[in-house]
Amino acid sequence: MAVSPAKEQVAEAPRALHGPRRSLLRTIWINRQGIVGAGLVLFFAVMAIFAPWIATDPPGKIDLFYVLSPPSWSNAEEGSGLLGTDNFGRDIWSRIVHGSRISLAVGAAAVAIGLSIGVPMGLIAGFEGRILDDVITRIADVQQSIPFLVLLIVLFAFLGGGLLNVILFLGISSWYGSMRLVRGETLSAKTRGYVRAAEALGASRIRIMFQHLFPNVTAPIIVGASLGFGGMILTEAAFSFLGFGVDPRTATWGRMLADARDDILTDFGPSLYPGLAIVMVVLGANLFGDWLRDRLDPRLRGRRN
Amino acid sequence: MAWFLARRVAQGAFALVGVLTLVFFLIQVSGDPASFFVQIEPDKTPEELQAEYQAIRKKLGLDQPIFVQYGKFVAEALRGDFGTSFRLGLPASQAVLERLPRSLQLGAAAVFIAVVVGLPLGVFAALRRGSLLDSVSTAGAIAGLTIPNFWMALMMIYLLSVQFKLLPPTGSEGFKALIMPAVTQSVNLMAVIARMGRSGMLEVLGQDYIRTARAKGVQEPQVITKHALRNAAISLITVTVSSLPGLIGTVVITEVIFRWPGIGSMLFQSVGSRDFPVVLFCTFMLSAVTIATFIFMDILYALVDPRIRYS
Repeated sequence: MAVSPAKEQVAEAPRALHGPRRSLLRTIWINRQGIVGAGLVLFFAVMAIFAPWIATDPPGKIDLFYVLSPPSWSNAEEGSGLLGTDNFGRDIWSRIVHGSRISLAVGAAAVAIGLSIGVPMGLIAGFEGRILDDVITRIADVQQSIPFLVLLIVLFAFLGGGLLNVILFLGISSWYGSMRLVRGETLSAKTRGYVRAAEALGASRIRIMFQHLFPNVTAPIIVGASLGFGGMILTEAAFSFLGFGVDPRTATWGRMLADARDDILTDFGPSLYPGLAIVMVVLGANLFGDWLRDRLDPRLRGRRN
Repeated sequence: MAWFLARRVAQGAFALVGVLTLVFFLIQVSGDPASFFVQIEPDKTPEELQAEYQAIRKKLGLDQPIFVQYGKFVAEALRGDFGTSFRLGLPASQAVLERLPRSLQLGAAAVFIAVVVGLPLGVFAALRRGSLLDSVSTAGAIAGLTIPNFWMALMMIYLLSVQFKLLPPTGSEGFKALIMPAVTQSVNLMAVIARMGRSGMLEVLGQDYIRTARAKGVQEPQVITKHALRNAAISLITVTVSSLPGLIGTVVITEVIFRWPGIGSMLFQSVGSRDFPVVLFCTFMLSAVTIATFIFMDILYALVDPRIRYS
């Protein structure tokens, strides 16, 4: 699905251009992957922004009279929420709505931090070369060769989680991805005419890197960011599930699944819905990222780590 | 080649020392384990509690300056001695190594499943491009990369253990208990292999030498296994290796969910109970296994692809 629609696009593009008029429906159909992906992410973004208005209850409200009650659509019993309640009688729908804030915030902020380290490092390593390149790629090699998730578990357990720590550590754990991308692009871009021209005009190295090279490597960065976003959300959920990371009293999707785990023998709903939320938003980000890659950079098509 | 390997080993050793040093100092800032071991009873006076606390600190060597402790730790770790587990009372290395076979068993089963299922899926998807099998395999690969594996584990427990009562929900005895943890652990890698297998094969199948092989009358199965697959293998090994640290991280999650008695669940428990020698040795083992596999894979590259020469 990721690769084949793009191939179709390439084949169909000329025909569409020569046709009488490219209809709106056709455009939508060709870009369905991106539209569905962006739609899913936007859905959760709206949910996160307007969480207090969309949620029917405060996320932490405990109601022991309605422990593990079924969803209201299956049972008109009063007091049970849209998706039922969990083992403390908390409303699952409201907790999912509020959990979207954590997931999206961690995903976006961690990606941003990873990029803000990785992009300058990649530009420097690619453009300056020699010792700086050696040092930067060597550090990345070393970091890549250790199981960083394991290290993160120790970090979270001993330094304590908290939203800021989670964002910071996840961001740092991913910087080398964008560094390698940007370094590779820079290496190939710096032999081109425009860099030599800028050099000849006396532009400073910093100016060449950020004014001339950077705009030319943005496409793969954007693609990498939207694919990395989903990965960050998955990792955050996994840590919350283990009980590390964000404060356990906060409603996060991973935490909800951990709470639901002990009741899976009797009640399935609490284990189902938060997982579906994770799948939907990550799927959205991945579909969008794949689509974007096919659009922005045909050379990258089919390559995916 | 020898020079290259020496450099890789040195780099790996450097990474290991870095990890251990980081974890060692993290432990120091995280609080005092001695306070966990003081038995608080109502008839003890505060002075008695204090004396007991100091005695425990002395016994664990925590009363010395941090750099002395670090020096001692390094010296002893070089001899393979990571200290005695606070909780279990036996050497940390022994306690962890006892559990290593179970983690290796889980990891090997997972990689086996991932390759045996993922590779044919990817290869046949490429050979029958655009077919139903292709769509199913591609959609499956996307699902495998999207679904959080701890959630998939929960869903499997619900379906296979609760609803149909086919497999035990947790535990580690017997072959049946291995199935769900191994499948959980294999999903990500399986998806990656299927995906890369497909795109790698598609790329290779369009090459001239494939056409040449077919033209000179080589049988189709031979074309695929000998000519195509071998050339696609290099990118497969690359993605397998680069997803390895992530896989070793998810071992912890898988083992915790299924209460699998491996190193991952041990790390989880010892982190919770502040059993520092065990934490140190677990991180050491998990990192060492990852680094060793990286180096092993570098050698494998050269064996699979005769064009690769390390200088």
